[in-house]
Amino acid sequence: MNLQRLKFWSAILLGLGSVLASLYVQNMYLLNVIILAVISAILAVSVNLLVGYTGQISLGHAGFYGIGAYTVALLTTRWHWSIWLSFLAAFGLSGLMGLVLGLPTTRLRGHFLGIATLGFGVIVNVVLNNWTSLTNGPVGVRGIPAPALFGISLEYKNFFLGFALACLFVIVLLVYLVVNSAVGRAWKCIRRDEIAAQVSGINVYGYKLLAFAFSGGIAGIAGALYAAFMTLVSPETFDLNQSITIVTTTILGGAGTLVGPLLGTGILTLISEWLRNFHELRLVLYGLILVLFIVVMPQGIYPFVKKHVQLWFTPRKVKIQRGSEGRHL
Amino acid sequence: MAEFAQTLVNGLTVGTLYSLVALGLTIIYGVMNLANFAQGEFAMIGGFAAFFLIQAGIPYPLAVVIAFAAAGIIGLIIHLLANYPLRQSEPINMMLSSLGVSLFLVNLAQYLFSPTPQVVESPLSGKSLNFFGIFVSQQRLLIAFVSIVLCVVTYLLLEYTRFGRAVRAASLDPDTAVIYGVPTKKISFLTFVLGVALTGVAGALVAPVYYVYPTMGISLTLKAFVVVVLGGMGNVVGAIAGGLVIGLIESLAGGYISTGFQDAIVFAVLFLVLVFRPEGILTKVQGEKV
Repeated sequence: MNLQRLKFWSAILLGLGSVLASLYVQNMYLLNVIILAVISAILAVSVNLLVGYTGQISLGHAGFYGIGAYTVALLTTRWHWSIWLSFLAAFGLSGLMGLVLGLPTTRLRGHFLGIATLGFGVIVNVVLNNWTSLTNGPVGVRGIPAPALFGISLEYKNFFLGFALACLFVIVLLVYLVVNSAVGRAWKCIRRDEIAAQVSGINVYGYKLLAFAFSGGIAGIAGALYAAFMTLVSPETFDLNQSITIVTTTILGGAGTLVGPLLGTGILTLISEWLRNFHELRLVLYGLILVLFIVVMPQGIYPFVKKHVQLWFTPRKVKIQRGSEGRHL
Repeated sequence: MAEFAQTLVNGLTVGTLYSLVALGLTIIYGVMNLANFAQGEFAMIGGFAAFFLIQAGIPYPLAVVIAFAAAGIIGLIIHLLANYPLRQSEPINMMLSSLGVSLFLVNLAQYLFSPTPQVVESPLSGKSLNFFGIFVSQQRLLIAFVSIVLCVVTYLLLEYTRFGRAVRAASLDPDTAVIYGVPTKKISFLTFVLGVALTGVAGALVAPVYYVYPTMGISLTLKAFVVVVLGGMGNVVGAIAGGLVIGLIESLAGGYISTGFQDAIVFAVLFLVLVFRPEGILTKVQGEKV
């Protein structure tokens, strides 16, 4: 318990420290990369609620991301809402969409759920592309104002990074609190065995809906941040590839852990920036590396590393004893 | 009226193609429990194989046969490297691995062959038949004919041969099948290779109608998934019937509602099916085993 508390407070300190440190980053390229990585991390954390904690796959998360981004874009440019109010609306509307998507799909399982959520993502993308009178079609929406906080304009990218990081840490903290509450226990129980959960008196349907709504809302916040950062949004950002990237990041990092999605985002960002050196071969190698990661560590990078670090520090005798216990099925 | 009939005929010919791709997808799903997101990429491989073979002066029918083999061989390599090592882990990992394979194949094709669409000439290009005012291009008829033949052959293979029985046993219950002496590892190899090779043929067949380009497989994969869900995952007859239904819906939606919203309408139909019949249209409803 003491170790748990130590971990918790050091994580809080690390969060605060990195927010403060980010204010001093001046390199434009670095700022761009890190801000986009922070947004991806929020998306990964959001999908982790479904994939990791509740055991529900989502291949349409770009839909929520897009709804969040377009909510901010349209409310601020067309109806001149204040940016913070539109952030709130983005959270609310994406959460609502999560609920709406959840209503019919919570009865589905495994691959069926995957295809249904994928369909949701495709439909949102098609609507963004073709409902020209509202969304401006493939051209997108421009001129989203930069937010200001305590009189400081977040137009300066280092301030924006600080803000985005703060958002990420608040969200991670929130997720930490929720998954360690009764709600989180119900989710994990559903993930392990849905029927057993139902038999134990857990409202499976309700808790799944909650997971969908919460996850959708967080992805909406990521979208809102994206819109405010880029100042323009267009449908191509919110396509199937984006949905797939979000899920792969989470699973590659280690679904069902708090650190996994963050680690996954970090590693994939580093890899994809490094691969820029290879120009046209970039995505070819990216695909190859993805397959390699999954084949070598199907359980995810964070659990893999954790297990091996623990093995390293385990005395030989214990290791042999543990080995003799055999593999559980 | 003639316009309506024309839309129907177009829908059905495209539908047979979806049936063929979905057939490959569904047998792979049945045996390996793998939602293969790289399925459409094998159509791309088949299409490019046909393109290069025809440029090299090889006649079209032979090119189609070689496209079948090429997709099968590449499928074999991919199975060994990306699927086989993951056979014991959770199904979602193999699915992610197939997404990685898809990314790899599409971008490799873009690197090697350039993203511009290539025209493939077949002996039937540009010729069409006129049935009472309805025009059907001969290549489309060929697509429908070959797709139907391959679907029937595959169905007979699964239903009446020793191999087919083994495939069905492995997809019903892999553990029991092993106990009864079915070599499930070998069967999953063969099923994957057969499944993607059929899709390779589909690619070689559409090449003269829709051109060949590296990203051609992506929309095909999505359509095939819709078809497979509609027909019931792992259900062979369902996949064939579902292909025709989706072809018709798509063609009618494109013709009478809006081509821009075509894909959204197809997925909306899928949504409705999932809500009311999550097991697919043709599958019998069973209780859940605990």
